[in-house]
Amino acid sequence: MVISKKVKGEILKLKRATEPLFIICVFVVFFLLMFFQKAFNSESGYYTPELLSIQYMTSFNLLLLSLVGFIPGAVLGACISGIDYKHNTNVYVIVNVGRIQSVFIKIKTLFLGTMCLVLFMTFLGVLEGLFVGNQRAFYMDWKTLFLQLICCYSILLCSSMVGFLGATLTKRVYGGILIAIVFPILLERISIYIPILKYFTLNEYYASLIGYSFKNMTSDPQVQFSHSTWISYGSSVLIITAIILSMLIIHIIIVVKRDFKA
Amino acid sequence: MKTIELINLSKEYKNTRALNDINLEINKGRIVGLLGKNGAGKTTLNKLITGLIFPSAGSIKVLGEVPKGGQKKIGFLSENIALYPNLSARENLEISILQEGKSPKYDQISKILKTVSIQDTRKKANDFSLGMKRRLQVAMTVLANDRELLILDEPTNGLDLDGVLWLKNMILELKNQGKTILLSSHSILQMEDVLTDYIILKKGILADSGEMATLNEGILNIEIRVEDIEKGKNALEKKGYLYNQHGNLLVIPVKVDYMHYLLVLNEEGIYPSSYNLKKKSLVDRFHQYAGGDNGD
Repeated sequence: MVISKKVKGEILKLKRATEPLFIICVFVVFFLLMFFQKAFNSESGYYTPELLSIQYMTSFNLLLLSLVGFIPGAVLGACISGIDYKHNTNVYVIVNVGRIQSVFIKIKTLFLGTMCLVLFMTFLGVLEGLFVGNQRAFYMDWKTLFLQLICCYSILLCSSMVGFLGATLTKRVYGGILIAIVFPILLERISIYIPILKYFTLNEYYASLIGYSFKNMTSDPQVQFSHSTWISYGSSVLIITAIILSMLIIHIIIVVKRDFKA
Repeated sequence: MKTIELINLSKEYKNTRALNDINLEINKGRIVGLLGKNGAGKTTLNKLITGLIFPSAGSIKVLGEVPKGGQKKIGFLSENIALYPNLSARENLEISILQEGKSPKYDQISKILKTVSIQDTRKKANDFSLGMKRRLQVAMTVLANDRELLILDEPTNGLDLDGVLWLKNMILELKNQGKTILLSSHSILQMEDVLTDYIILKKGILADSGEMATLNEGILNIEIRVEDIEKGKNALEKKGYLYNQHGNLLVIPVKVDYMHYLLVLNEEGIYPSSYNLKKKSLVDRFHQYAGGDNGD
């Protein structure tokens, strides 16, 4: 995949930025904890031999990313959007690149970043499977993997878009992170008391996607995740795509109409 | 050829009118000094020209287009430091070039960094002194990409005397290349001799504008040295002219042709031993049109 020079510029901006580095470290620690917690859980015992397959390890990684990926997603989105507000460098972005074009370049960077994260976790799963798979023949149910990739990518992209839009609204990186992480949790808590709200929470659609995509994980009793069945997989993907597009349109309107500081 | 054309341009922020009914034209290749006290509307005007903000009323055309950003013909040096602090000088310049959709060349960046006297190219921008940050910002705005119009908002901020001289030479070089430059600075005096035109803003209103060449032709005062100072004073008072006295020197603000004052004294039998004409400077003009308290 050819990365355009403008996207390369956006990626370079994130080099040595503290927020992504911090969140990558947190995520790696979290991932390792989850991975080894299961491995050394006294009740579940070690991974049972039938689970130690490439398919299982890949699914496990993608499930993990689908469940907690909203954190790195939110940080990535907020950083891509908020870094120029933080350093007052929107001057260059608007004057050199242009308003609408700058949004699309940042979105491309976001798509690329989230895709890299999903692919990294997939390949990590394959590698884990190869190492611990006890010399089994390589087997992969490609349809399941495809559905899981779509699920994981949709969730990650949607979370990062919330962070992206949040940072633009608040003109702050941490504003975007806070909105992307706190807002869905808050909405979910409120929906306990106001049930109608649950139809507006992203988590409902995420749960539905996870429920349909990770059916193969149900053979592992230790892996439990809630999933909603009131909406189909296809509808969930469509709704999440519509939400992503709506956020993109709102973002473009804000950037096109906004007066920028210098 | 008109580079900038402003017609009845106004800008309001909530309840404040930052610019009011500005009409102005700036031609290609001019170096224009934008003067005004704090809050006069200089930065607002700069931001309107670059497309960072939109006018509340009136119209604006820059290089034949309505500025919305992304024209790739305008370079804007903002008054505040705008750099990626975690990145080195080289990486900051790379971003400027990549934003243009071009590949940054190692030698090209080295040359630019040499021009702005940044030797430590790997040092993080955050660790630079204010003056070096400013130089890097100038490099990103002016040198990294070829621009027809350069808007320099307080470019001397943070620069020492050497830095100001360096900037001045660079502006002269850009002038020779035919670039149009709009320069706003508190220390405009340091830049006065590179300007071809001036604009004075006062409380968001265009108070005065013109060419530096015409401005320098104007005579502000005539200083006349006379032997009998009392006789000289009486002659001027008789005609109702205002003056100041410094020893044997009569300083008269010139309202009509300066020769007239000499003739008045001659008529009274006073023959000055010498006289000196004090020409108007940008500072005088500034005090005349933008004087008073901040923005008043």
